Amino acid sequence: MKRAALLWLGFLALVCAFGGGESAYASELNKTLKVFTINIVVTPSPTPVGFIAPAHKQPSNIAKAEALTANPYGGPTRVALGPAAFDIPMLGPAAAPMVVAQSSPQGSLPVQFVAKPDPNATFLHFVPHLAVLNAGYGANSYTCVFEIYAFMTSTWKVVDWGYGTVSSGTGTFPIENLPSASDLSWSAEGVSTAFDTVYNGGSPGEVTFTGTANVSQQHCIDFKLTVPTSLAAGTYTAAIQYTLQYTF
Amino acid sequence: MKLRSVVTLLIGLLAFAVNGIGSALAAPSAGSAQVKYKVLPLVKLTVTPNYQSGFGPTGGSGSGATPAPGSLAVLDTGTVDFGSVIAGYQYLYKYAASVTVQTNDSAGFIVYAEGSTDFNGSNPVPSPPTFPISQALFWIVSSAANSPFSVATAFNSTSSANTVGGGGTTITYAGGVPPPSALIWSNSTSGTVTQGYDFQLRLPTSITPSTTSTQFNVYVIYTAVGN
Repeated sequence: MKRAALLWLGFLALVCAFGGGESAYASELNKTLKVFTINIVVTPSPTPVGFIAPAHKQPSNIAKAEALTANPYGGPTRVALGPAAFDIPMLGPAAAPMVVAQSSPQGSLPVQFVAKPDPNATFLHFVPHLAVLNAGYGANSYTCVFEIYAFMTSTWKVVDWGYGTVSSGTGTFPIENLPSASDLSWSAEGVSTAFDTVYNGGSPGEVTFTGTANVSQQHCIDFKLTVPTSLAAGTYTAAIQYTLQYTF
Repeated sequence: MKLRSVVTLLIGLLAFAVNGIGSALAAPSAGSAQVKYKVLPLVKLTVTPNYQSGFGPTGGSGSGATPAPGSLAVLDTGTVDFGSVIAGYQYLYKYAASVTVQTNDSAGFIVYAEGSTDFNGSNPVPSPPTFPISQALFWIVSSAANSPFSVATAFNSTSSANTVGGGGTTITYAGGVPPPSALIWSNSTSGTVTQGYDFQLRLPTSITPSTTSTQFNVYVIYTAVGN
């Protein structure tokens, strides 16, 4: 009897060890995990202010240049350098106020890596579609930001939560941390049309979608993002951890 | 005969007069020109790879492999070499590069950085042969709190012409200044200042075939401009 109890305890310890302490139930194990990361660029609404070079040359300058070419000595008296920076306006779509020889020093930095195949891609991987989420203040929507593929030889589910979040703490835009609500909501196409805020209370997280043994699924993930007006414009990052769990 | 002499004399006088007027027109005249010029400030840039002990990649959580610096990564020199990394995972390369700027410009300077190209694949050449640097390589100012998932900014591939020469790769910018999107550092004082950067690598599963490893290379070009 005592030996049987010890064996049972040992079995439970084994399950906990392989489950990484993240399984909701003793019969569920983590197969693999991945973190989806995407940058969010918040710009002042309604439109980023920028300087766009005109697509065509300035006609008035072209006319002056052509007149000068036809009769270099015609027209009013010209001096080498008047009060203005140039006696003849510069031409071209991107005419700078002044042209100088490039004197800015440069340094080059070589970067390299060797990408090896993902051994877990058979079970869980992402198919990214959007490289960055451009956002204005208020509500923003994004369709099929990326796809999640999942497969397992026994009953499985994908669970998610904001990477690095805990049951209660402080976080940052956009996912924040419980008790604050996340500014980012998601929906898995083909699973539900409802949007849920990204769970930001750490493990065990929320169920993204579930599957049966030997049947893979791949779903687009849509996002809705609310940018508070108090947030400074700039670049932010959203990181969501997805874990493939299976039942044995 | 007398009349002929008079006419000849008149012609001679006329020729002398015209010649005199021509000489007067060709005579040098004095004028003035105002020349304005600007003395460009001294700006000196130094980029040091792997600038601190402990440099190299971390991360790849869940991949089952522990990253280590590649053979080309050497303290204070060499390449930012992530070594072997697993597709589908993310990495942080600590102490990737320090940027030192020396300037006598009292208004300070701006440093820009861009990829000379996108990542070029080799050994074997993948299809497509390149991968957008803006989707894989990110920069972040060095900090002990950095992780592979920290907020970081993407490098972009330059749209300007670049040249590979004996002194390394350079980019020639129209007007001499890189685009604002490449800005990585703005400092408003003169003197000699240094800032360190970590790099993030975010790899999709699709960056390499399921059965083959692929090498990727790129040059990041730093440009310092006085304010």
